[in-house]
Amino acid sequence: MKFDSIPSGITAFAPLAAFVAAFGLSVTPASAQSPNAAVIAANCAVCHGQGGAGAGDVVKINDKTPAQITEAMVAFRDGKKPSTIMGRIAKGYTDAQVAAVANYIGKK
Amino acid sequence: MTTTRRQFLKAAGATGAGTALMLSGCAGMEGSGGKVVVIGGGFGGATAARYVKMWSPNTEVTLIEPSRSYVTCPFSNYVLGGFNTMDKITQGFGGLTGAGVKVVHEAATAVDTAKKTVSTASGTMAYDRLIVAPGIDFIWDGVPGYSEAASEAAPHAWKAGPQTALLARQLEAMSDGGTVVIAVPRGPFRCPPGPYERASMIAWYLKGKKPRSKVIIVDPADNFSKQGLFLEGWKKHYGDMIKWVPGKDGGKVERVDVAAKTVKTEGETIRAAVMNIIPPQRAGAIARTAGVADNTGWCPIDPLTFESKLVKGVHVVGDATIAAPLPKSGTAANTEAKIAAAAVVEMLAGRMPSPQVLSNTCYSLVTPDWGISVTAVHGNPSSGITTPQGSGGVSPAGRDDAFRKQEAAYARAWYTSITKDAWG
Repeated sequence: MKFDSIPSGITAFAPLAAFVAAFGLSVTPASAQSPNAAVIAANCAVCHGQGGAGAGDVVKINDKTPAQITEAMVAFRDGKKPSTIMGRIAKGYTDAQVAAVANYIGKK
Repeated sequence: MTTTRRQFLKAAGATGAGTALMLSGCAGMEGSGGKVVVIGGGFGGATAARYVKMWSPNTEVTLIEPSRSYVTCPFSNYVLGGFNTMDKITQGFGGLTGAGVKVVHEAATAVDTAKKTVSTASGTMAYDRLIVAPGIDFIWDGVPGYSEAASEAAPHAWKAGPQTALLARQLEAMSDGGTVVIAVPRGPFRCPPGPYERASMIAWYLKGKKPRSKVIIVDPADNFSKQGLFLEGWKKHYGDMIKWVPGKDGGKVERVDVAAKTVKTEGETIRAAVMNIIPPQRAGAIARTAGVADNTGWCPIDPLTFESKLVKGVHVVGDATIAAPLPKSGTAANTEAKIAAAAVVEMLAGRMPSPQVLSNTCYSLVTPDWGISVTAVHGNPSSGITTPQGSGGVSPAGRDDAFRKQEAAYARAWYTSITKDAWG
């Protein structure tokens, strides 16, 4: 898992927009729907460890492929894979976010 | 008309105010350059400092924290339960130093948000963006009869450290058959399930050592975090040892007398063997110094960036923020710090932050092997924090001991991971 740089995502942001506007410029909103994988994946670290290395009873996830992670998250979300907490968490993520995080953390 | 990033950076640099943006332009994707100062070395501040440095290695990151170590409130209740130790909840700052963060062990004495400087006893340092993680301060006169001096006799133990050790010693010294009173403050307060987990952990200790004793929780509120799960666990493990008195039954405290060891509520006067008085709270002092707290005592923020709504260039994370539905918890501070860190890196580079995901996971123990949890996932657009339908919530009630044991084991893993994530 690399944390060396975070991908850029651009959306409307008032202070910077005002700053740019002051120069008679404008900023093109880029794909606001493209999730910033490094930032979202960082949420996993509080239980799964930085980079998904696992800790104690919480499983290592960085040895899984992106497809395996995605499959597990979908199964958690749909209640097909039993869990204590992951079902509740998986329901909070969109397909695009799951895919981005899986690609980011998963074994390449 | 559209603008390329290079044009934007050039325009920004032309003002003379865009030094950091120009540094970023030179550095390309290596990082965003610039100087970031973080005030406060708790869950929020440590995480913010670490992640700014991680995501932008060429940014100069300074963490200002007077203490040489940080004692976590999470897992401090287990010291009271008799199965954890102070050294296991004490975090050092060596990991942050090793990660390239400059750690200054002094108090921040002044913040000039116009000149963008922070002062300590030894000097003044400039910042391009400031992140403050003030934690909480107590409103000492919020409980009549209580004071900072009184906390030496009737500990709050709501900032972990000597107060935790003091409360543990008092529990050890009390006679069997005594009453421990936990006074819950009005909300919002740090760690919403904390008082109820504390009652559980004190009951765990008493059940083993002083089984004729009682724990009474006096509470101005009529409901509490993870209530159903706590009540289930208390009944199962402690019978009637723990009594919760909600506001509607007279649970609001009117006055405490630390010398006489009495707690007078709207309903009764309780004679206590041990008094744990948790005062009402507001954002830590540095929030007022920096001008980021409003008249509620807490700090309004833009959820997209966690930049203060009151002072530009200053981000606020952790317990001090107004970020409901996120609670004032260690995990919430951690996730907020990551959002703020990402936003700071993006803004230093002249890019605009986009909405990400905030998440909170909070475990409590009813016994060492009987865990419960609440979790939440949120979106963070500037318009307000959102919650995807059907996500989050508390763990299911009525599950068997194996399920609860698994949650307790996950709680321990959470502590290992989050403390490593923040302090290294």
